Amino acid sequence: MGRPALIVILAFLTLWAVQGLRSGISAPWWIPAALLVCAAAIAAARAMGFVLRDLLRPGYGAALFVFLAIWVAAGAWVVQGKDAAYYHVHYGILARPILALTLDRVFYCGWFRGLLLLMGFSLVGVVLQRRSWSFRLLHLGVAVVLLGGLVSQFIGVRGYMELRPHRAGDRILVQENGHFGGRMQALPFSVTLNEFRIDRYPARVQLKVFRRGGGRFRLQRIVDPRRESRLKLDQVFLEVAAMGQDAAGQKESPRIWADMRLRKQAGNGARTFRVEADTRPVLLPDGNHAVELKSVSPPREYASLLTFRDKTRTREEWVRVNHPVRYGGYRFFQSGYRGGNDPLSGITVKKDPGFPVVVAGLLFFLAGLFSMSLGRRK
Amino acid sequence: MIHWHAHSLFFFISLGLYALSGLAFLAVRRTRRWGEALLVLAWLANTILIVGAWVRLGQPPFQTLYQSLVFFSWAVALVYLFLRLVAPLSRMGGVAAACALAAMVFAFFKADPGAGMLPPALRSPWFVPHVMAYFIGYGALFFSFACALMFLVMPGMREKTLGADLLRFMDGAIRGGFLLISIGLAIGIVWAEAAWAAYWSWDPKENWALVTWLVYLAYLHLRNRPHWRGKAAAWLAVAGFLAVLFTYLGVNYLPTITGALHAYQ
Repeated sequence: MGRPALIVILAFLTLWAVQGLRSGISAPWWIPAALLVCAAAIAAARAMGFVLRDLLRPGYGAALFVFLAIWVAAGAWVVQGKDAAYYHVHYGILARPILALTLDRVFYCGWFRGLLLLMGFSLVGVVLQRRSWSFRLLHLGVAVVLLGGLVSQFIGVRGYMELRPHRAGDRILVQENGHFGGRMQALPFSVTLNEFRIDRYPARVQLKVFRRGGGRFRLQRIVDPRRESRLKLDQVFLEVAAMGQDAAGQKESPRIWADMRLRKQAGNGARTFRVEADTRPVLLPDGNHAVELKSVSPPREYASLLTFRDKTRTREEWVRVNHPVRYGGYRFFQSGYRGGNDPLSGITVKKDPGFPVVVAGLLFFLAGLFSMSLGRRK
Repeated sequence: MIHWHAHSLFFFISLGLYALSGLAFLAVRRTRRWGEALLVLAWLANTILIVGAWVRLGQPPFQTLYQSLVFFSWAVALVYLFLRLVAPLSRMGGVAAACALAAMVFAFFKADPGAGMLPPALRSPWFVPHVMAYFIGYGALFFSFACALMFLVMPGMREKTLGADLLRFMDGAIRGGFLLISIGLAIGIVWAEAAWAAYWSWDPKENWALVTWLVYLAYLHLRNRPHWRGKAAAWLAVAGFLAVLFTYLGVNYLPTITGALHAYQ
C-alpha cells in the first residue's frame, strides 16, 4: 500500500473513531463516501508519487529539456503574435499545424507554461533530496530564476512612453504577453523631457548603388568611396573624383558632396554629376542604375534629461542607454528616439519585482555550478 | 568583394601560421612539436591582431561577423593550448589549427570596412565579459564536437584506452564549455535588463542560446547513465555543437531575425 496510503487510512480511522465517539452514531451514510474519497486520495497520492519520482530522475529531466528545446526552437522559427492570415500567406501548408499547436504564440501559451511549471516542480523535488549542497544550490538557482520569471509575468509592469521636449507625460502604453496591446496605465507622477542629446560618431560617406527592377529600386551594393575610387557596374564606370566635408563639423548633418565622372564602357565621353548628401537616387544614363550618396553617422550615445514631479518633490536625472534611472518604484530606460522636425525620446518604464529574484537565482546557480566543477576537480 | 585594407598584416601572418601548423600536425609524428610551436606563434599573431584592432578602433573588436570569426579562431587556439596542459591529446592540435584556419578563411571573405561604430546598447562594461565567456565556451565545445566526431567516425578511435580517453576529454570540454556559456548567459540576462529593459525578450538569438544550453543540460543529465555512455553521448555532443553553430551563424537566416535585438551588422 505504501506509506502515503497507510497515513491516509490511519487518519481516516482516527477521524471515524473520534466522530463516532462524539455523536454516538455508528456507521453513518458518509462512511462509504469517505472510503471512496480515501481510495481516490490514495490513488492520487500514488500517482503523484510516481510522477514526482520520475520527474526527479535525470533521464526524465533530460527528456523535458529536449522537449523544451524543440519548443523554443520552433518559437525562434515562427514569427510570433501575428493573425491567422499572416501564417497562411507566409507559411503555406504549415500554417494549419502552426496555429493548431499554438506555435504562433509559443512563449505565452499554456503548453509552454505547463512545461516550465513541470520543470519547476522537478527542480523543487531535486532541491528537497538529500544531495550535496552545491547540487541543491544549482537546482535551487534555476527554480528561483523560474520563480522570478513568474513574478515578472504576473506582477511586473513594462510600458513605453514617448516624450517631446518640454512636455510632461504620466501615461505609459503597457506591454502584455510580449506585445503592446493598447492598454494605457497612469503613473503616480509626471515626467518631463527637459533636454535630449545625441552624441554621434564622425560622419561617413557611402555610395548606395541601386538596380531598377520590378518597378522599384533594389539595393545592389554599398560602397565606401574612401576605400574604392573606381566602381565597375554592369555598363558604366563610376569614378569618385573628389570628396569633401563641411569644415564646420560633421556632427548633425554634414554637407558632403562628390563629383562623379561617369562614362560608358564604350567610351562615349565623360559626364560629371554632382550628388548632394541625402538626395534621392539619381538615375544613370543606362536607365538601370541610380546612385545615392548619403552620410552615415550612427549615434554613439543618446540621453534624455528627465524631470520627475509628484505632490511632494521634484527630481531631475539623465537617462542614458545602459544606465536606467529609478524613481517612485519604477525604472526608466532610454530606448529610442526620433529626430527631424518633430523630435521625441522613447522611454521604457518598468516596475518588475521579478528581476532581483532572477538575479538571485542566477547567483545561486553559478555558485552551485562553480562549486560542483571545483569539487569534481578535487 | 574583398576589402583588403580591413585586414592587417597580422591577419595574414596568423592565417599562414595556422595553415602551417595544421600541415605540421598532419605530417609525420616528429613534426607535431613544430605544429604546436607554430600554433602558439599563430595564436600570438592572432592576439596582436585583436589587440591592434581594439587600440585602433578604440572599442572591443567583437561587433561584426568578421571580428567575431577572428576572435573565435583565437578562442579555439587558446582552449587547445589550455587543454594541452591538462590532457595528453596532442593530436587535437591539428583539429584546433584546422578550425582556427577555417574561421580565418571565412573571416577573410566577410571583411567589413564599416566596423568600428558600436551602437549605444553595446557600449557597456558587460559586452567584453559576455562575448569572451561565450566564445571561449564555444571553443571548448568545439573540442567536444571534434572528439565526438573522431569517436563516431573513426573506428580505430574506439579502442578501449583511446576511446575512453576521447570520451573523458569530450566530457571535460563539455563541462568547461557549459560553465562558460552559463556565465555568458547570466551576464547577457543582467546586461539585457539594463540595455533593453527586458532580461529576456524571446529574441531568436536568445532562444537559440537557450536551446544550446538545454541540449548540453540534457547531456549532463544523461552522461552517467549506463545506456548513454559512448556513442549516444557522442551523438548528443554533436547535436549540442550543431546548436552552437546555429546560434552563432544560422540564426541570421531565420525569418524572425528581422528587427531582432541580436544581429550582426
